[in-house]
Amino acid sequence: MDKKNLLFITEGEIDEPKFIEKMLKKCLPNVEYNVYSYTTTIHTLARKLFSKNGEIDEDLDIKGVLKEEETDLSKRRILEKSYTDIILVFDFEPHCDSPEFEKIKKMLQYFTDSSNMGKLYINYPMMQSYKHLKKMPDNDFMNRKIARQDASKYKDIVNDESFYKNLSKYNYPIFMGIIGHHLMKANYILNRKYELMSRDEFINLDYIKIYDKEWRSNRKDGVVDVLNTFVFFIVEYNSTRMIEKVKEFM
Amino acid sequence: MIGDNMLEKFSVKNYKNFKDEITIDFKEKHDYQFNKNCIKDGVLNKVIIFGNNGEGKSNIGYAIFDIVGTLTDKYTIPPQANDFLNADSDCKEAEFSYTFKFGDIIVQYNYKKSEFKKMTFEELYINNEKVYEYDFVKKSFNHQNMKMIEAETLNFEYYEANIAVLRYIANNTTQTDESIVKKIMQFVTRMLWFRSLRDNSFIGMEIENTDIAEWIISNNLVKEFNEFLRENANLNLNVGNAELMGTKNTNILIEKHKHRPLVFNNVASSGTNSLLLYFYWYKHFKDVKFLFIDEFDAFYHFELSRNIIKNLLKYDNMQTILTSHNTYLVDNNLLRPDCYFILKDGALKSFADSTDRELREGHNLEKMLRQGEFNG
Repeated sequence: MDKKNLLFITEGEIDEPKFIEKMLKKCLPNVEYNVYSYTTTIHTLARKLFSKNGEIDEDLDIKGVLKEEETDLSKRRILEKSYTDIILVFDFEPHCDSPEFEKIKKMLQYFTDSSNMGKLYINYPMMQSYKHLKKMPDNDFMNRKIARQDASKYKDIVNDESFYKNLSKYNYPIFMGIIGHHLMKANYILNRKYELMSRDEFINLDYIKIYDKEWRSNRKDGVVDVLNTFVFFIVEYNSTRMIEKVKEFM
Repeated sequence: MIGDNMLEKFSVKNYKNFKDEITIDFKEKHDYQFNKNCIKDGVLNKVIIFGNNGEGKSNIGYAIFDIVGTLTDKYTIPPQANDFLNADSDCKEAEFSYTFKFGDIIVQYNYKKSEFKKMTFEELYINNEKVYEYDFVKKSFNHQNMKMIEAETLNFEYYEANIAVLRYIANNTTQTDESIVKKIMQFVTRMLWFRSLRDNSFIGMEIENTDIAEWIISNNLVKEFNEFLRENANLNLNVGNAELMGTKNTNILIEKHKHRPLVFNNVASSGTNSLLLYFYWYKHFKDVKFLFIDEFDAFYHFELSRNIIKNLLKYDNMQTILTSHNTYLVDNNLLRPDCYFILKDGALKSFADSTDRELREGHNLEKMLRQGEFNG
């Protein structure tokens, strides 16, 4: 296969596919892809991936695991195809009733290569965080947090506060601006620096450390920092070029 | 009778590289809830055997198809007869055992041979009841239950003991459609073995014409062959036919090109030739009960191999064994862990029975095979 053929495994079946469609159309128009919506949280998925010894069963194949319980024929067909890359996009769900934060951390440590076992991106508190910007540039985004008790209302909160509610109006500069803000936010969470990172810093971006900080903050203070890591997928596709592009539009 | 006619179990001993008894048991299925189309009436219907070179993957095929030479005049091939007995064993006979399931009736047919064409012992059981037993060396016959196979009036006085008793009965009695003898013969005459390595040899079945190209042309299948190549191998060859003038007019396949046609036989790759052969047999699949393709994908691109398996899965009527080295075929999207077998050290075991681990649909069987999980 000389062409990229991506599989996105998402939690939701409405917002995520729409966002992915738009983002790829504007940022990576030449890739082929399918979206498989799991419609259940990562906390549920996590329980299916571990063997009795408490470690991820590395002989499992994520598509096969999802197929085990999928009865919809057209969705099964999506899982039967071959892909060059598998991208998992899930919400942190700070308010989950039966959380599996320990297991999810192990999943993040395991799902690190989209062309092999898959790459997992976690969004804090959830996918809709991509648009949690009130203007551009938005310097207050640095400190934008959400309380655990408000997480179940997060979609409404974002829709009230966002200046970028209408996905259909998104263009390339808006995507670059969104990615830039989330890159700066990641840098701020990790290094207290609200600025764009270099290409090398991006390559070494520590998703586990971000997760640890978010997890601790949720546990201790009952809040999480708003951050969408899924949009970094676009940068990872060609980080040298994309970091320059983001700078251009910031 | 309920259910189809199938081979339930086969064992062989002291044959070629199998010094000790080796068994393939098609009843040993697991309770997987996926790809149920690999199983029919509780019997494995699609099986792929993997194994290192020299473990005897081809020999297991020759062994299963020994019955074709024993009971019929259909084609057999020299490798079945050569080096017949195991070279290390002190025993002078090879032992074969076939358990068939004809609906709800279980039939076991056992025999021993000292050479490919030399029977030494034979016995038949129906639902565990012995029908007859014949010792070719002592010439002792135990035939108390011949009534069960409508052969009680058959005169064995002139039996010359150079062919199997079962074959003698089939040839010399009038059997109804429901008779067990007829069912065995119908099954065995519909067994087909082929491979596409080195030569186009085969075992079993009738064939109308040995020239496949001519057969395709005379049956008006050129268009379908083109479609077959396009669908399964993504090949757009634009095959046509032409008449070759000469002392005898013959039809040949050609590839149509802008400036001049090319003779298909001269330009076809190994893979395309192999597909031509597959296409020929594929057009006979509706009449086949049991199929064995040795090294079935030796010349195939890995995607094509998967397409061929998907094609074979459509033929529910045909119990199928394939041998392969292509681990890309090891995938719960295609078959299931109880349908993939490993031949190792003279034993055949399914992946499901080769590990203590409970295998799930979510397991990456190919990765596990490469890592040695099933070498156990």
